[in-house]
Amino acid sequence: MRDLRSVVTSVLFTAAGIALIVMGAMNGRFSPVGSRYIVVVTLIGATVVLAISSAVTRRAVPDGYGKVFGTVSFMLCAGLVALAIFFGFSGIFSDGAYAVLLAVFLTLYGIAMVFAALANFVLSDTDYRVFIFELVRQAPHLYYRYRT
Amino acid sequence: MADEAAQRTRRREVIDVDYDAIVIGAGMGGLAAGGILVAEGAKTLVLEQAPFVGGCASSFENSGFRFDTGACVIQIPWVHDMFFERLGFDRRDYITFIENDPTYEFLDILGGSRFTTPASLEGTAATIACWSPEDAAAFLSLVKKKGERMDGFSKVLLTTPQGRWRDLALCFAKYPRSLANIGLVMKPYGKMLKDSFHHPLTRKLLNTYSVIGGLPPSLQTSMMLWLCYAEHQGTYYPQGGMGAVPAAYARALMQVGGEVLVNARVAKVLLEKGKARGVVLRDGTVIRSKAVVANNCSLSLYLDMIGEESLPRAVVKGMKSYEFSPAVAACHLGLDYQPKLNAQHMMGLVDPELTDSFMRDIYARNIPVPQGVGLVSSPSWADPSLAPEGGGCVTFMSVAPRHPSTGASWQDMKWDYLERGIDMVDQVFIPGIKDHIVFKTIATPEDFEKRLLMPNGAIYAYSFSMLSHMTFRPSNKSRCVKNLYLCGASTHPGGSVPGSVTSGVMAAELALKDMDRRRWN
Repeated sequence: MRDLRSVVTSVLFTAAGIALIVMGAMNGRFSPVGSRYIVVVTLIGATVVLAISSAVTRRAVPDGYGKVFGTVSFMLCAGLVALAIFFGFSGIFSDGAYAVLLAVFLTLYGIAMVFAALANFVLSDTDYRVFIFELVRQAPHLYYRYRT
Repeated sequence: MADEAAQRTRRREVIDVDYDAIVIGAGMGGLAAGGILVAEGAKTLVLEQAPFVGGCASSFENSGFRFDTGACVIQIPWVHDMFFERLGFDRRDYITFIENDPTYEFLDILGGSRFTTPASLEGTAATIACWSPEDAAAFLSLVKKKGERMDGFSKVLLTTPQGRWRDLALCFAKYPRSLANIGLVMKPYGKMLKDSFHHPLTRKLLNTYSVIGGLPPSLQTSMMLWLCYAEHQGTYYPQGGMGAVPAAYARALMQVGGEVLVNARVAKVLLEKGKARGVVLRDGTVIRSKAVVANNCSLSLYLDMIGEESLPRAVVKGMKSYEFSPAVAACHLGLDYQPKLNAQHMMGLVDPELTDSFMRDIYARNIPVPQGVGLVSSPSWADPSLAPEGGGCVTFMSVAPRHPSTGASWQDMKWDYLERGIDMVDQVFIPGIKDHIVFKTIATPEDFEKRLLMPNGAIYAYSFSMLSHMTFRPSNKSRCVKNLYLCGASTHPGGSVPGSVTSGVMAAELALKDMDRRRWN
């Protein structure tokens, strides 16, 4: 059965991911100074929301998946903070390069978050989790099996 | 009949004939490969280490009773018709199939109910309707509609080698309707049971097909529902016992000019410049050929008969990465009467959660569980000639670990295991049977390993997990040794009699294609 808290976390991750993609796509419309401010505030805000919701979900999931999910969420949140620091305080790029880099990073990060939300949604169901973890366990052998 | 095939063969000390193809192992896959090769004009010799043909699909006789060694039912009968047709024969002239209707009698071990399932899907739906009309409707909708598509796809998959990724794409291209079932591939079988069926008895009934597939319902793909559909297209028992099938294959093979040599154990595959050029028998006899078709387990083929030193490291690593399918212990009982049964095969039912638990005990913890779940088969119910006048024979098969965690070897614990098996059959399946036993014996996973050379005693060779299937199972045409072709349970499409037969046909066709190419070049 799927826990309600996992569903809420997935929705939040999806929303955050879509927001990042939209920000990335709209980046050209912001002035460099204004965008720095918006980016920092948004990324820090998203980090706080995700960190709290994933901590709640981690406690809700009893088996090893809680640890995996907690670790992945922590890495995503840490990545968001790193992005915020980098793009908020970096002055080494020209305005054009800054805009392109920001757009690329935000879009990629947004896609990663949507995938994380999807994975969390699927894996928060015990039946799918057991099934998929077994496949993941065997995945490292696939290349070698394909050679036999 | 298997003995007849053996008698018609002869042993030679020095074999100076150059064959087009040598087949290692006269199991169902090897015999099928040999038959197709001979029928297409290739001079072929089939070598078998045992004194009989058939491997896991053979029979043995003791005290007047004839028992099946492993396989005890004919499913997907068209594969046998196809083989005999390819050789220019009619299967009915060689083997008579007796229809199993009802297919099974099921016993709900904890709930206490007993019921049979007829051969037709509609009949089984009517049985389910007795306890849940909603589940009966869901059964028909799911198994009939999706099963038809799965069955169409399985016919393509059973006859298309999976050497490269594109081969799987080719299967979908040949049967695009199967794409509609793609969601079932990634849905766990246990989840599908929970979502689609509400009554516990329906779930227990359909849970059986996951167990037959060799994986617990939590790890099995919902595509295994196809097995339920396939069994409802008809299951049969061959007159004369399962051994009659390989004996008929061997007879047909020899009639078209092939040779079968029993008691000939292959020690090595002869390699020259990375190409298979024949085999070396255990006694040192060298037999040369243009191609080698191996029906033995691919693990022993690659690691023992070819050797790690002759293989790329990736292949060795790949071979060692496979996990084995379940092993079984088979208790064979000869009786002074034929029990009155409702079907030839009886199965115990338990719910999916309990199945997960006991299969985990067997697989991960190597604990021989109480034999509540298993298959009881009475071949003499279908064919009375398999037991002495007025008698009957019963076999009880259950999943068992190859290396028990109790510390005792199978040699030490086999008789105790047999007695526990008899108690269980007496208490659950056939009350009173204990007083009528005149002969009893047991085949343990260790016996399967030693006598039939099945590593770990695994009945389907490798696990039926999705990631050791199709392209990820050892290819029918070796990817690392030229002129070497593989068939049998350890290659695509996998364990079971139909799987072995079609793998043999595919391996033979690949070998013939390459032989033709070489001939023209």
